[in-house]
Amino acid sequence: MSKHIIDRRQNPKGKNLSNRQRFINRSKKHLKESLGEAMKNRSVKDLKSGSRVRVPTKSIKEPQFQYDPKTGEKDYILPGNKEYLQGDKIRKPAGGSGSGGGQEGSDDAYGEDDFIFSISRDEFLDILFEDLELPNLKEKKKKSIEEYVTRRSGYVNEGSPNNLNLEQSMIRSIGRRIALKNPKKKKIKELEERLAELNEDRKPLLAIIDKYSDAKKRRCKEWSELKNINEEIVEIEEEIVILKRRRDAISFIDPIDLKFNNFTKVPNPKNAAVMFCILDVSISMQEREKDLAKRFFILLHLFLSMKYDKVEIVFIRHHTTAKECTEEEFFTSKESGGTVVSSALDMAYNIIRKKYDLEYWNVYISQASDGDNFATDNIEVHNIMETKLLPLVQFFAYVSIVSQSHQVDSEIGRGIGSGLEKVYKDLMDTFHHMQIRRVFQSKDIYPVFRKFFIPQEETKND
Amino acid sequence: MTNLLYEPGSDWNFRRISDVYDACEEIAVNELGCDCYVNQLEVVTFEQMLDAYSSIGMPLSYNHWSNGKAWSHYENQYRKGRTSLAYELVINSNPCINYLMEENTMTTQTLVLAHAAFGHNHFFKNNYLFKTWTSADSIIDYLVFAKNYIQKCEEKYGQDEVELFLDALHAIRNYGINKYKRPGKLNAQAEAKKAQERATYLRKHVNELWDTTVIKNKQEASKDKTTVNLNKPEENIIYFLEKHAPNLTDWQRELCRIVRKIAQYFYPQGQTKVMNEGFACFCHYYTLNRLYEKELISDAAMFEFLRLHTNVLNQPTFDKKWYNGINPYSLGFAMMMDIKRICEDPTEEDKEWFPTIAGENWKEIILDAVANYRDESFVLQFLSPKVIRDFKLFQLGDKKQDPHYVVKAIHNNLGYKSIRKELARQYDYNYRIPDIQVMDYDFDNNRTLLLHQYKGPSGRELNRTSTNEVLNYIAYIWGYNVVLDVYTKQMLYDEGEPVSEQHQRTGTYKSTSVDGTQPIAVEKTKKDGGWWGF
Repeated sequence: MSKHIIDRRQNPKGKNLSNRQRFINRSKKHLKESLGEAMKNRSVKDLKSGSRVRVPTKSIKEPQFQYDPKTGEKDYILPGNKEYLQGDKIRKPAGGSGSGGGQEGSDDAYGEDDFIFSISRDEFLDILFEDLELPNLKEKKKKSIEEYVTRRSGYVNEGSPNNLNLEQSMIRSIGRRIALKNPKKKKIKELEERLAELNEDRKPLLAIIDKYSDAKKRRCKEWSELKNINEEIVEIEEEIVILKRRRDAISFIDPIDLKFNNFTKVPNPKNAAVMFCILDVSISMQEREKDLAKRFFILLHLFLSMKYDKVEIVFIRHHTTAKECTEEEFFTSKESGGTVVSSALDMAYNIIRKKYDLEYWNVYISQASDGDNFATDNIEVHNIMETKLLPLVQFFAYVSIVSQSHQVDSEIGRGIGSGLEKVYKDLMDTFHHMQIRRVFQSKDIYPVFRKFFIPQEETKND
Repeated sequence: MTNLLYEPGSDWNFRRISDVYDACEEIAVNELGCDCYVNQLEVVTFEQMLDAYSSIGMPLSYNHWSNGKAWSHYENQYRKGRTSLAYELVINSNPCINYLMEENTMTTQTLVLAHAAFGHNHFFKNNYLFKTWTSADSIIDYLVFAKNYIQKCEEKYGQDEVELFLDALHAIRNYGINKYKRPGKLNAQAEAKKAQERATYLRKHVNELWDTTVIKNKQEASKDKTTVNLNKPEENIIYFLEKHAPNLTDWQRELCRIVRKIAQYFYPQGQTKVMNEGFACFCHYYTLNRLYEKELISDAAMFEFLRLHTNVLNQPTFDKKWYNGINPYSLGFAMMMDIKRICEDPTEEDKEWFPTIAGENWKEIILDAVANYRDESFVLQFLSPKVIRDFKLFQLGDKKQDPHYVVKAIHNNLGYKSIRKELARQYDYNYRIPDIQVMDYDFDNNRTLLLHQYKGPSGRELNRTSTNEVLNYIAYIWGYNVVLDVYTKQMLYDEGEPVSEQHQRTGTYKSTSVDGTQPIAVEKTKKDGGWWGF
């Protein structure tokens, strides 16, 4: 019986990619809910990882006619009896009849609550930010310094062995050998075969000639035939010697054949954005408020990273004075005292002026606060925002963290904190690229984020 | 010098696989008497294995989201290290396709070859269920046809519509099977040609003008009606829908055919799990031991094999947290080994229980069992007291109203027969899949389709939620309402007329969708901007 062994490893994998796409589309609605959950444990700067997500089994079930394991009179056959005798009674576990059988329960497609699987980073982001747009996106000059990419650029004659291009080198080797009339192997082989043939032909002639007497030898017709053959043999032998000499003189591969892949570094212009996270860390901001702010910042960072090649983040925390800090400090350090918002805004303005050339950089500012500010500072805030900051930035998002759930829906600018919202609300009339949203709990964050960035026509329709 | 096929610890390569295959073939075919299809051994990566896993173990399958679901599930499990993939996958086709994973060690590959390329392969070729219900020669071609046909349908009629229709058919997959009538052989080319011919015929012969203007005489009209031969009751629900659903278009009928033909192909697999795996394990165990005796594999390889073998055959006891039913590998292997033992070295007990096989030639008995039994009859015929004792099987009765389970039988003289009978029953296809058949449809009035379920003595009831969902799917295909009546017993028929009056109706389920609009169970994914309702 014969067999075939086939190496399929080079065949394309991912035959199921389109099926997976269909599956993800089908469960998208639930995935979006699940993603909010998955955001919890991410770092603001984490852009690489995908996520594990769960979808309720109900939404993707494939129903069948099947028995309800809780009904009817059934017998189970089980292995591993250690102590039971015929007639023994075993109390059913409280709460779950049918679970004692094990086997029946596991057959039930409704047994599992959730279907858990992993999605890649791209799938994650696509679902997260589906339909969202960045308002005010301006085409700035692309930043062309610092970053280079390596590109192929033809072939060169010198290079390191690992860049040797075999194909190009061999093309030249073959060409050179043809040009130098390198004898073909086939030609030599043919001659050698002919030689062997002639030698074979000689033998019977020699045998015949040997029989004749010396005098007769030179006159018989075999003699002349032998002579012809001998001449040809000499010719061929000479030719073979020449060809072989020529062959040995021409090298198979010569330094002048060698070609190397060439790479050059080319500048890689990128559109760039800088994102300022401004967080109030005064005593009134507790863990809950910080957690909410963090979630918002994560979303914003992910979103900007999708739209821009390069995104930098600047963290500024402030109470009465502002400080630029690392992500860890930003979320963990404890501060006390009152709140002077203008200090942070001023610092943001200075950093922009100092570090970020607006010809290249798009600037986004997101601020999270519970709305407290020294009353006397409000005028200063208004001034800085109106004259300095707002004209520079692409978008200013203010997340107002409220302490009671009903405040989420009440009118912006009223009812909470000491008037910071009110100041911003007034500015919104002049500057349309500034928005305020209120959040109360973590599940508000994602919807609020979407409201910031959903295209304007759609929000009007709501 | 040693005549080892491979040195211990060496990686596999094609040369070694070929050598080992030949050595296994020598043992399996010449000593054990296996009769196999030609083998096609395909080396694959784990990703390709995952792909095959999720397309119901076939090398190709039409596109459907449920395959993506299965893939995502396996992929997640595998990446997290929850499960390792099976070492092998084998397809009932001619030539018989065996997948070998590239991660396997040489010993694993040897095991896989002995197990799948000879064990399963022999089973596919010789078991009566596979011989009757599957066409190994043409299944791959048919799948290609199905995949292409469905792809064309999606291009023509839209992916959503085709997927929805397939969802509906998948819900009644288990009812696309002729359990008694032997199906014709599959032939992909003929199927494709037939589908084409049906479409052209319909296009040519539909003449609206003729149908609406020419008045038929009464005789002809009544003849039309009586010639509708429903051939009820019909166990193959998909077949019934395909032939009689009033409003289906021809591509939808073709999809019905595709789903039921594939369901029919898989019908024997579910009924021979214990035997199929049991024989394959027996085959690899015998082969590897013989290789070792012939000094073709090393001590190290033998130990590695034994470790793999015991892992696969592990049977946790019922009180373990990871107990998940009786392991078919374990039970099947134990029974096969026991038949060999009874034949070679019967005890008094065996002679009493198995007078016809005790002392016979074990090879003949095993090959005969492989050819002529399925799980249910195999257990009923061959489960010996010794295996029951070794597994310490016991029978536990569960009545809904009782606060206790009752131990009905244990592994003693009084219990053997009861345990054997009950275990066999649980492998019966009809015990696992509810018995539901098409009974009638209201031809003259509202075209309601009537299904009957026969409950059987165990009194188990259908799961209400899923039953309603499936009925909605059937209503979607049928185009009108569907009613499922539950009876305790099956009515007996004589020439289409009911003759028994013992049956009693105990329940009714109805489809909730009206007039075959979208089934309510189906959530269609909408492209909406807001899921929080703003």
